[in-house]
Amino acid sequence: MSENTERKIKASGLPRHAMPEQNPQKRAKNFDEVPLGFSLETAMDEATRCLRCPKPRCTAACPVNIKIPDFIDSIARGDIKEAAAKLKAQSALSAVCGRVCPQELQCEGSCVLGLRGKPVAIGSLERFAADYVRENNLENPPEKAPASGKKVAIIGCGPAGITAALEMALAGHEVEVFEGLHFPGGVLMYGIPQFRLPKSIVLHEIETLKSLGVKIHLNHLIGKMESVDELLKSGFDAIFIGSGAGLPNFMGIPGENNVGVFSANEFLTRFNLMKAYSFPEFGTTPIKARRIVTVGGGNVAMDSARTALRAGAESVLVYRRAREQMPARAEEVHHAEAEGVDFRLLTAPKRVLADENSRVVGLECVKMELTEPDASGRRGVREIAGSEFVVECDAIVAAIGNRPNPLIPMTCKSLKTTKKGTLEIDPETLQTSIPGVFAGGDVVSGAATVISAMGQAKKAAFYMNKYLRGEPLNAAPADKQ
Amino acid sequence: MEKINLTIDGVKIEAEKGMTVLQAARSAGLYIPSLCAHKELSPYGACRLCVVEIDGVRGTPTSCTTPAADGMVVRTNTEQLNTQRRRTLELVMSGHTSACFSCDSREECEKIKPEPAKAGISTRCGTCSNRSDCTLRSVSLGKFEREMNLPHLYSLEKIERDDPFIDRDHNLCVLCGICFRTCEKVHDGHGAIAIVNRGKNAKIASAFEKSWNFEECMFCGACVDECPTGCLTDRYSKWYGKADSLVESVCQLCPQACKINLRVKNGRFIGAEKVSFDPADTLCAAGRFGLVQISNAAGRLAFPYVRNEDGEMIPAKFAEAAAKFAEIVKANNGALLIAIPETSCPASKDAAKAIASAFGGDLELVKFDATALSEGVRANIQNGKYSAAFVAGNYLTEEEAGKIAHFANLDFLRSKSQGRAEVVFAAALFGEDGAKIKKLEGQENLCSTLLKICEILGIAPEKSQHKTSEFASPKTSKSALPKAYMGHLVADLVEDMKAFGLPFTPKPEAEKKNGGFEVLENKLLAPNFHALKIKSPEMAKYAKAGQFAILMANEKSERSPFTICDWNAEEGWVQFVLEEVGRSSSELARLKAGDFLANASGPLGTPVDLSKFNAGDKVLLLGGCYGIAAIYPIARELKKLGAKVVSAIEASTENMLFFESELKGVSDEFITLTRDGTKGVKGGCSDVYAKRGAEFGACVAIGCVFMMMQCSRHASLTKLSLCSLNPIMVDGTGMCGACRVSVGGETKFACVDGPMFDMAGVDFVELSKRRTAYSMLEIDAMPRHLGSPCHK
Repeated sequence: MSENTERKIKASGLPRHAMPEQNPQKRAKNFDEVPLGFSLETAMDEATRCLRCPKPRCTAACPVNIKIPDFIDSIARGDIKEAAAKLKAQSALSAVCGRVCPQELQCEGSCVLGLRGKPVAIGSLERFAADYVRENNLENPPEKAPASGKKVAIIGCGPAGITAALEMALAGHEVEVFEGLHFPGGVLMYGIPQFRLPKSIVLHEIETLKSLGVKIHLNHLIGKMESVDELLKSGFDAIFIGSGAGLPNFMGIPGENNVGVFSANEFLTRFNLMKAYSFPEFGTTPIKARRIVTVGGGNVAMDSARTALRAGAESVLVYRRAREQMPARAEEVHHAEAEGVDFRLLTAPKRVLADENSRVVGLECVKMELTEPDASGRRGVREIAGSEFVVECDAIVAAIGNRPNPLIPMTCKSLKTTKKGTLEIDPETLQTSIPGVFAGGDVVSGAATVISAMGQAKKAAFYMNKYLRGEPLNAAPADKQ
Repeated sequence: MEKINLTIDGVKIEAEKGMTVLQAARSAGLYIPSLCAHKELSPYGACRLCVVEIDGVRGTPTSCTTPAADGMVVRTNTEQLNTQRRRTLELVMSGHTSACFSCDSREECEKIKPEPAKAGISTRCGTCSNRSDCTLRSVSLGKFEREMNLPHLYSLEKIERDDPFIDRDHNLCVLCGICFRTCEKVHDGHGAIAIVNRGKNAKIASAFEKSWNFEECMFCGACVDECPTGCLTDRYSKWYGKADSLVESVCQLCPQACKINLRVKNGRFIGAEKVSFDPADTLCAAGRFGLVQISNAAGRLAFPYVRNEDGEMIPAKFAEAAAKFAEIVKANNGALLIAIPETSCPASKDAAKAIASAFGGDLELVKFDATALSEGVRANIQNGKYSAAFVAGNYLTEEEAGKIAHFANLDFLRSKSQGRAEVVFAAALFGEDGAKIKKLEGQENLCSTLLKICEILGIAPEKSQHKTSEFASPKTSKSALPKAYMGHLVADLVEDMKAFGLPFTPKPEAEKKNGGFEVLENKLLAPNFHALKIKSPEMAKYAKAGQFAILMANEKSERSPFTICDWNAEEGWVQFVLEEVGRSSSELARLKAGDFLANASGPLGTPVDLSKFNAGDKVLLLGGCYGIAAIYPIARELKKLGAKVVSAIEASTENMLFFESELKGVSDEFITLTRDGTKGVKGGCSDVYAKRGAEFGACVAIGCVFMMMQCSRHASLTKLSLCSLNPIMVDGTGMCGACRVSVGGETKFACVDGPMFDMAGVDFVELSKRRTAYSMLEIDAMPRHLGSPCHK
């Protein structure tokens, strides 16, 4: 029997290891991380389930093309340091990605084992390897290419900016990052809550950047200070724009400006970045409400609804479509439900109700129904006439997406934008309408995921390097996987 | 009681013999104004507002000191009396911060600002914490002419904040004497305070004007309760405003178990006060000022916990926790310890006794002030005598708790021993239980917890006689003040108690970071207004007129927006003018040259579009409050362009004006207005706009919401009319949407679309409501203890 067949037989019989989690009733009242991580033994055991496919579908499905069977193989052998190094070669932020990637749509979603049973717990293994080397100080300092003499500016210190900065620094360029807020990390700091992504992990990644000589300018908002043109003139040879999608959408329903209606950005920023959960030690006021309604069905909506519980409120989630259409990671939906978020599906907000002091007292909603699938197979929704009802609440959080902040294109007219307000780029090279200026992440794709932003930043970095070497950008990359 | 009959203003009334004319009138429901008369205090005759005319009596005697006599004919409302009262009030007002009384827009302004703004020092009713409960205000409104004929003689003394719990703002004192008379009455003739000095320098003080904490004053707070103006205030609770109800309760901080009234507002405990003027009902500092701070302490337990099979502490419902402990009691018959504070209510003690005796347990009544159990019980714990225990309070070390197999704890705060507990009950304190004050679901007081356990166990506690133990009263000796409550040091929860020498747990001193932005200068321009100059070459390089920056005094501060008022790119500095209001602005106001701000992020916001202005354009700039400084850079830039600039600034009163010479230097015409007419023209900027707006092509108004709202009514007079909006912001870069405002029916983000908007379309009422979104929490955020950054 070949080794591979043996493995297949073994793997098919092995159950997938579930990540141990904090008890849902307990965690709903604290801000500590929910999944507790694999032990070394569990991780090695889970790693043996991988079939080491010769043409791994998981790697192809990964936005940054992590060589998944390779790193899992290292874990199976107990060489976690090697596994982490393999991850680091493709991903700047594996400890983050292991936690926040929608694995069920990417690597795990295409795992062969998933066809008959459950896929390998790739996300949990990635997280384990990154955590293990960080906690045990086993990380190798990344190797940096000799100084190129080129200067690169990175706008925005979120997932895309961090990835681009890391890639550029490793390639030997002098890198300066410009961040508008007073803290680096972007959405990893202000948006994704502590219980999903401990902030110490983000800080660790920022320290790595600094150790590579990357200079981070905080409180420095490009567009209000220098414009992109001025940055180019001031001696930067290339620029990467990773300014994200920070402009929140509101629902566009009557009463939305009443006191007690928040964007998810505001709600989460208060609790995460500004640490309102430690009020009054920290000065930023938390949102104190008896019952908070979150509107939306994405990851941000789940984060908001779960933060609402931890803020001591009853948490209701209103989503206009059905569970199957929720864009959130399956794990987040599962966590939210286990913790006691009250899901009101096929329900759309109609009107915010307020008292005489303009304070929110309720959200009028209407029931929705799914329509028949259209030609593309997608099911729409329509209102059920006369089904209006009121969800009583004293705060409403709109988590229905973000658009890119128009600040940068507004102050740099030669940067072209699309109708959606995103930057216009060459889809292959990610170069914008200005030569030498590249972009990636949500500023290009609208509100998407951390990993897709990183994938784009990596790709942009590849072409920026070509650009900086003076090579033509359109030639097919030789070593692109 | 002998009755007498008299006539007041033509009305025949019956009164009791021995009443004063004022008492007789009031008992008949007739109104005579007065500031110094108090139903609990003997007549004083200080304010002279209660003057009356009496047939056969010469002059205008004060009704509060004149005994009513049978057959008297009294007039209270003649032309002469009213003139006399107005003159008297005017004299009072000339020494009081009275700008709001003289302001023609007061009524409308107070509709927009239903609660007074917090401030470092009260400069008018609009920034006086006592506005909702001020006798001077209620007496004056209506009787007072808005025109003042006397000069204003504000002493503008610094607020005295060097004593625990009490702020004293002598600017607001009207020398009615209620405070020291109350003090004498509630302390049986041994008052600690009196009026010292004479004339303009007269003020309320302790002997030799020493700190009130020097000797006699016991900080019973009676004077604060009765002060009819905002002179004596409770530093902790003054900004919460007037209570909407009083709840009777019993203080359990020490074995005295004093009756106490809890002040409640919107279902929250905001302060405490004595129940009567009877000396026996006097409170001690811990009860009057400490109780509310203990009840509102950070880190209160909000719900019970029960440990599950996996050893995790899981939040639980009260009934679940009680049932769990009842099981433990049954299973550990004979090896049980029940320990509750001796200050617990009699019913709690009865219930504890019943459980202990029914299940063969030891009952320990923990001594008042103790932070540990008695020696004997501790020895028993070490010997492993108890396999189960119920301890109400923070009396066990973690190690001791670990010696008890099944440990249940009841507390209002987290404690180390809870790490070893199987059940933790969240204690409701004082009047929080029942329906008296809105409580969190799951919080129950000690008594109801024990009674519930008794009920589950099927035992009925017997009612026994309880004696309060002999002990020195904290009302009469500061050394007898309670040092600990339920095993927690009182001074840890109520910082000002440290001033009485109470023990506390030392806190590690915060590391002073010198990173960030250096403060070059911080000067006081007018009461509450500070000009803060910081080093930031980058901000100075890019700043433009009309922009703002987000400042954070330290890493724990809120991000707060402030208008950039001046800058110099060559020298690399920017200047802000900030008004000391709540925590953020106070933290910034306390910074001195050489200190560092943690963060300064800017310039932010869209600047004034100077391309819309041409040389020779006539522009009217209107500034009020911080806006006085905010229009300065706009005036300067327009002047550079060659525009004709007319600047008008308003302040409530003369001493609140600033930046006059700066603005004169960049204006072709400069107009000063004060709301009380003490300098320049009486009125507000909107009056200038209304009268002269048609002369101008453009107008820019920056000030408080009310001032801009008033100005916006005349926006049609100029082609261009701009205002600068100041909503709550978090990031200031367009990310959070907290700053959304309605302009012309559309929602805009003030931080990126503004802050400058066409004033005609702004929904100012919505803006003012959105600005109050966090008003209660903003008060909670203020550190209000001695020496805190907000009150030095």
